[in-house]
Amino acid sequence: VTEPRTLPEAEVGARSHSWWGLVMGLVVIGVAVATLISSYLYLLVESDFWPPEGVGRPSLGFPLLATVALVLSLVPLRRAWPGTDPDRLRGSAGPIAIMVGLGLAFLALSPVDLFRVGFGPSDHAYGSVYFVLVGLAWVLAAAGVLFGALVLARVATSEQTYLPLLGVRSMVLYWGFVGLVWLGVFGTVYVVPYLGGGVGS
Amino acid sequence: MATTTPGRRDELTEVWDRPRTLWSWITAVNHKDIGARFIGTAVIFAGLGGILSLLMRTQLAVPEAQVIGPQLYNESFTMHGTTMMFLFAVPIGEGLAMYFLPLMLGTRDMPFPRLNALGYWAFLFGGLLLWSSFLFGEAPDGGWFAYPPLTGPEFRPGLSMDFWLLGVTFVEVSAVVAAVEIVVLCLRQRAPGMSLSRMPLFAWTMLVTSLMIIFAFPPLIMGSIMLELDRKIGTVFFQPDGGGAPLLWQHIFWFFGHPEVYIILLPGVGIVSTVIPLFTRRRIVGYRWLAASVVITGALSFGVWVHHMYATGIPVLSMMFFAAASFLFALPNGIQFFAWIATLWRAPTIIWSSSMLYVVGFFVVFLLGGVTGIMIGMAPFDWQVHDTFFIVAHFHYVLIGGLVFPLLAALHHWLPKMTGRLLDERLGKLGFVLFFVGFNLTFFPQHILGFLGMPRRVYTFQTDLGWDGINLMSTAGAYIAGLAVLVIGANVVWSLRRGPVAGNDPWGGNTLEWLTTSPPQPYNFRVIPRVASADPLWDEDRPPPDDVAEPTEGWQEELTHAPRGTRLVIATRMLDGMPEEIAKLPVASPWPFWVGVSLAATLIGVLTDVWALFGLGIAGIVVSLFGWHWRSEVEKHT
Repeated sequence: VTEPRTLPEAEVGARSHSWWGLVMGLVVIGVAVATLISSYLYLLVESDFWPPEGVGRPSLGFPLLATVALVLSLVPLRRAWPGTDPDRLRGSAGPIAIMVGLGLAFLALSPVDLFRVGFGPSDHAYGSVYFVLVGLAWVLAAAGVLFGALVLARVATSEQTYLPLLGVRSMVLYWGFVGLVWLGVFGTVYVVPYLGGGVGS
Repeated sequence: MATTTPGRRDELTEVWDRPRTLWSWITAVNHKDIGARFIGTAVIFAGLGGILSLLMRTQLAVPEAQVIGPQLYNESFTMHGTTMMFLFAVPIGEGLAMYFLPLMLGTRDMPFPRLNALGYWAFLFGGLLLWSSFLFGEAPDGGWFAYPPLTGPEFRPGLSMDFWLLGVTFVEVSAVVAAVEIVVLCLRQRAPGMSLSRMPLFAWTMLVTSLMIIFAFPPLIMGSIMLELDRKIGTVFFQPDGGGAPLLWQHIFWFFGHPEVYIILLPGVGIVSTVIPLFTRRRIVGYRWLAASVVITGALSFGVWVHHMYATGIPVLSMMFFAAASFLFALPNGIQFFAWIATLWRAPTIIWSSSMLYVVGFFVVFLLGGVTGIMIGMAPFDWQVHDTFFIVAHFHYVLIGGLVFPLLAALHHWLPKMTGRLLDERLGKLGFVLFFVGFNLTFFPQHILGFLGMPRRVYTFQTDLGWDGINLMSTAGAYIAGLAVLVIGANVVWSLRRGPVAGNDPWGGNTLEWLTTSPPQPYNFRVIPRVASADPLWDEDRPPPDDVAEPTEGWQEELTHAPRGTRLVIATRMLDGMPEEIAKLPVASPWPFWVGVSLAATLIGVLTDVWALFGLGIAGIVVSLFGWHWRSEVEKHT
């Protein structure tokens, strides 16, 4: 058995405490989002008309623009990834700043459609699940942008120790998760109504 | 045997211990502090839930009684069920795990101690929020499963169900963060050499339980948020008038609710598997089969939720599928029972301690609950007894048999490790007899009441229905069970004041918690033990007791004192338990408390429509999390 004195201290690699903790946290959020998406599909199946009568299929303009901004924000994350080397943290600052900027663009674009659809969350079950799904994705993204901004501040101001490294790694994983969540939400809310002509229509 | 080195121990104590002040109590993060609080708080809530059950049984003792009116009766069965499921059964299992798993796994703390503390504050504040509803005359009264549309804004105006939805969500956050802790602990932080195949069975059950919580609780958290949105801002997820679907709530609730049954049961399986070897002086038979059966139980539990919904008009094919899936539980449960019986069968001796008596009580009671479970797994039978007292009897046999009997075994088994003092065996056995008799007298007759057609959730009944004598018998049983609880409580108080000193290992234990002192030192183990089997203390090369052990030359100098004043633990590889890194854990911190307070403010803001408080709470959460992460205590020491 290896002696403790020869072991590395507080690794941040793929098998570390922090990695496991983050993955478990993302699983929890992912299951919650999956519940909401399943609810959308359940309500769709149980409805005679989906979207309801008098409500058109969702417009794709702003949601698509938001999706493009989000996908573009994922691109520099590859360069932001510092691996397990604190010395590479300085190189992460620029890509994180780009991610935060594009994340802000997503936050501005994704809810625009909610103000233009002509119905509210109280009008019918379709409106309820539509607003809550898009709203939840927006909240998760807003948390990611805030997380990114804090990590950026920390990378810029603190020493290059393992804790900022941990922050950058966690933020990158989280933002990737936000991307997955949005793709799931986009597919459900904006693509599903176009498949098969919609229930009852 | 080598002598101890006090200087090193004092150094460890200084780093791992905390002063006895209120502030240090608030900022404590150590697993024993937090685990004991979880257990103690859950027991207090169970006492409150028990009082409600006695109120209900008193009301039902005779026909047309007026002890409590229908409204208080509705509130009583709602809060009794909610308290027992959310504020007792789940937290006490997690609390036991928090206290004992680091000891059983040979480590010094949980992997995320501050998250641990946050879990406790969320549990405490959530429970207080729920119970404070009585003070405002707004106690929840829509049943512990809160079915809409009954619990929607139309039929339950006022705040009663808001208390329920927000309080339960708060408590579930607690359960989830504790579950994350336990999973990472079991997978990453075991004694060197403790491969997964050498992990104690209690750890296996808690690992699976925690994974189940991680997958089962978020749906209910989301469902509760959706129902609260229906009530607060007028969404119509579950309101049929707006195109919503009440049955969607039932699917979401029971997708959580059936795994919840096993989330409650599996810690009991772990406790029974821990107690039996000690009092038969024999290694458990079929260790690997038992571990596999626990995993299978966890997986199956997500595939049977619809058997709670047979009466809702779902398609026959669907019912057949879920009935068949439900019967599959006989397989893992059968493995467990046969392994326990096989261990007892040719045991060199069976020591009939109080713990062992409760294990036998578990066999009888849980088996009966399982048999009636098979009965109601059949849809035609379920239709006949649905919403009758037969169901009440069934789930009390399952839940009290599956959890409370094992917990009482654990009390007699592990309390000496926590307090350093033994319980009185005569009082222990008297408590068992009273509880066993009282429980069966309460609930067995309720099967018959169900057959005779007495529905659940009615606050009284007429005298000419043939239910009088059976109800009176059931109520008498409840009071005998209540007396048993008093006897058990008196035993605990006596033990704390006058109980004989337990020593490190009063039972000749096989797992690592018996290696260290009773109660354990703040750092658990001065010398982290190495493990070569699933019963390391029964091996020929049993590690020496921790209070006299000395590290091998050159071995573990890093951990036997506290270099740089930090809290260090060994992180191990997931499968083989080989050391992989030294992890530094945070010291005491106020941030978990402030996050808990801020969460409470947020939810109270939602509850009362005071949106400034809501905003303040959100800001508090953000600031607290910022403080939590910005300048961590670990970093200050590096």
